[in-house]
Amino acid sequence: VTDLAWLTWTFLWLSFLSIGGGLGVLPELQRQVVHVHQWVTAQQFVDGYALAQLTPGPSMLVAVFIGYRAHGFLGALLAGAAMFAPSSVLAALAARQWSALRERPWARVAERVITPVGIGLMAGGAYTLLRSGVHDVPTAAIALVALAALWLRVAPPIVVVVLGGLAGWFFGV
Amino acid sequence: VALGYRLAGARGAAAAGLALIVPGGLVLLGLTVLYFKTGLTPDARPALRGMGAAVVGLVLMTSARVATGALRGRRAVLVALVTFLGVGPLRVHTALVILLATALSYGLQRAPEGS
Repeated sequence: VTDLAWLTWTFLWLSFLSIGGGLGVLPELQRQVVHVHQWVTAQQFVDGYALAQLTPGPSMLVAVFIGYRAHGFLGALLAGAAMFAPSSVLAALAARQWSALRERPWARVAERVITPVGIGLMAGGAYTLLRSGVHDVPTAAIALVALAALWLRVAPPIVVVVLGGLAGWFFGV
Repeated sequence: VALGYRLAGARGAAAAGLALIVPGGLVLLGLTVLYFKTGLTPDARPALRGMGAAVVGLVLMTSARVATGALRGRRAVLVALVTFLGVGPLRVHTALVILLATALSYGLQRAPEGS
């Protein structure tokens, strides 16, 4: 029960840190679930994130994957709820207030102040996945080809991820 | 969620949030059970690693696109870089990085141009 409470609490406070979007909180999420609490391994973390990309909905559904690994169905439910409830309430509150406030000078300053922080957090999330998901030349090649295909808008993300899986299977990465 | 709130208040926000999260959550839960119960066959592991690598390409592209679109000026680039180094390579606690980087960003915003 104590560990289940830790699981819920961890996703709850991580939810409040999601100012750079889900990707922005990934470095801390990985640190907590892989290194601090050891609910999943680094490879399972990347696998779970990849599976979350295959499903409709936000990528932070990876909370369900981690919660299930740690404490079964109850863990999946609590981790998912803890990850999404606070950020959803914040989004609803922001929607209620922000349109009225955004033209005020302090709100413009706040937007300018927080935007680069959010982008830095997002880049940190990309770095975290890069370190865990690319470990040799074939995986680096798949990542580069995927990046190029998406940058050039050759195919939608889900297709690129599935093709990455096929390439991994074919080349035995 | 924000759009749901604008359209139908708190009920709209709740309905939008659930519609966004529950279907994907259930699909992922099914995949997760398969992943941990079957332990993955030797054939599936390389496929999952390939998908993971493609996801790395996806998040790198997303970050690059957002950064090139939203970062304006050297000060913003500096704040983003400091934040990235803090949470990425240096592995400092994200809450601490947010506090320090926000303070830095605010200080740079208030500093006169050219300083």
